[in-house]
Amino acid sequence: MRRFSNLVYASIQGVAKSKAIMLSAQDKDDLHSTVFVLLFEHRCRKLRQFKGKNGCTLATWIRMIAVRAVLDHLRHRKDALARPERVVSLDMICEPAQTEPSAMSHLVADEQKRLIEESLQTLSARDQLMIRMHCLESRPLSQVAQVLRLSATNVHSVKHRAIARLKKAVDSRIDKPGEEKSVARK
Amino acid sequence: MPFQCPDEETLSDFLEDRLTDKQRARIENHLADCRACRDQVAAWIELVHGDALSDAVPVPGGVTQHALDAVAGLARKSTAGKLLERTHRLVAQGRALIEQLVIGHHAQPVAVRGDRSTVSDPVIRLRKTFGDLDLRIEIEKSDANQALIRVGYGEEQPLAKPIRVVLRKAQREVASMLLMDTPVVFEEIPFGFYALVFIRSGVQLGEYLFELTGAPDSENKP
Repeated sequence: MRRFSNLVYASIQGVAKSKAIMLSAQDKDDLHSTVFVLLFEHRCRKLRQFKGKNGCTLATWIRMIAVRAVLDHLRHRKDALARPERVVSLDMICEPAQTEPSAMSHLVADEQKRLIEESLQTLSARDQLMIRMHCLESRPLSQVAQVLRLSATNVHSVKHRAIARLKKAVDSRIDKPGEEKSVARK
Repeated sequence: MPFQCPDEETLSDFLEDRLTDKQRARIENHLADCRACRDQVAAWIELVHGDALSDAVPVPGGVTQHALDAVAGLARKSTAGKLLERTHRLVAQGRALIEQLVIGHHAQPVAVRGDRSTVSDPVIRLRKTFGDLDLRIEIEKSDANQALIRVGYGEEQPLAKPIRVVLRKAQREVASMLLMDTPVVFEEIPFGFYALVFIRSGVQLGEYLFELTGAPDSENKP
């Protein structure tokens, strides 16, 4: 326990900082104990789950446990855990959502959100990850590159292609109601 | 097919690129649908590759000690919990065996298998058998809050070895006597939960649990 105590404490601080959330000294103390209790309770049931069969080190695994514990704790708090998904207009999807939606976007927000979500479901998992993490959850492109194992140069082109595919998917859904109207007019 | 959240080791292997392409694709599919796992992945990347730890302070000594105490408390709770559970079980068994033995002005007959006596006085007489050992136990209220316990052989039979009769309260020995030709008597025993233990040559032959209590209107209710 003493060997990994600092690792766990640092992880707690790091996660809180990455979420821009202040944890009191008591919170950090409690979370620190929570992690070790989780490892050792029920006759070390959690600890015995660690296998390291692919070369994962115990330190890495404990760090991941600490990250999960902090996120679970923050999720249960009333204050916002993470930046909420932003509802943006289709025109703004090209860039990370950094500005407030316009008044018009508010009016059509729900419909667009539904449209985007349905269109996202038609994309590949990697495209979805790119769009969700970077465009909707405003995570840095470098993080997405890490998750998708992309180089710094390649990630930009992957991003633009994903957005293009999303737009195409959205357009194909929008065009269908349009076609019906033109038929009706005829 | 729904895929539940990967465990911490799998997620670590994913982030540190130790999975096969197929395993990786599965995790990516899951991440596309799971916000919680995306949060976790992002937080881990920030910790390892970002500057989240740039101003982290070392763990205070008291924090480590708190964690050690918390984990140590798990072991104690487990042991104490088992002990408490066992105690409750023994008490429950004792109560079932005793069947509310009451001593006082309103003495009641004790329904004990093999009992040949019917109590009509503030005296309880019963017979207990443990293997080849046949005993007569007599409990008589001697005072407002005390009783006398007499233990003797049930039949006139010469016994090869004497029997030690131990009176216990809450696992603590109150008195101990050797039963030979004449009955043993425990006097001035306060009301409470007791056990009479019968031992021959160091081997426990049996145990009789009972409660000494006053009448229902007595102050000495358990």
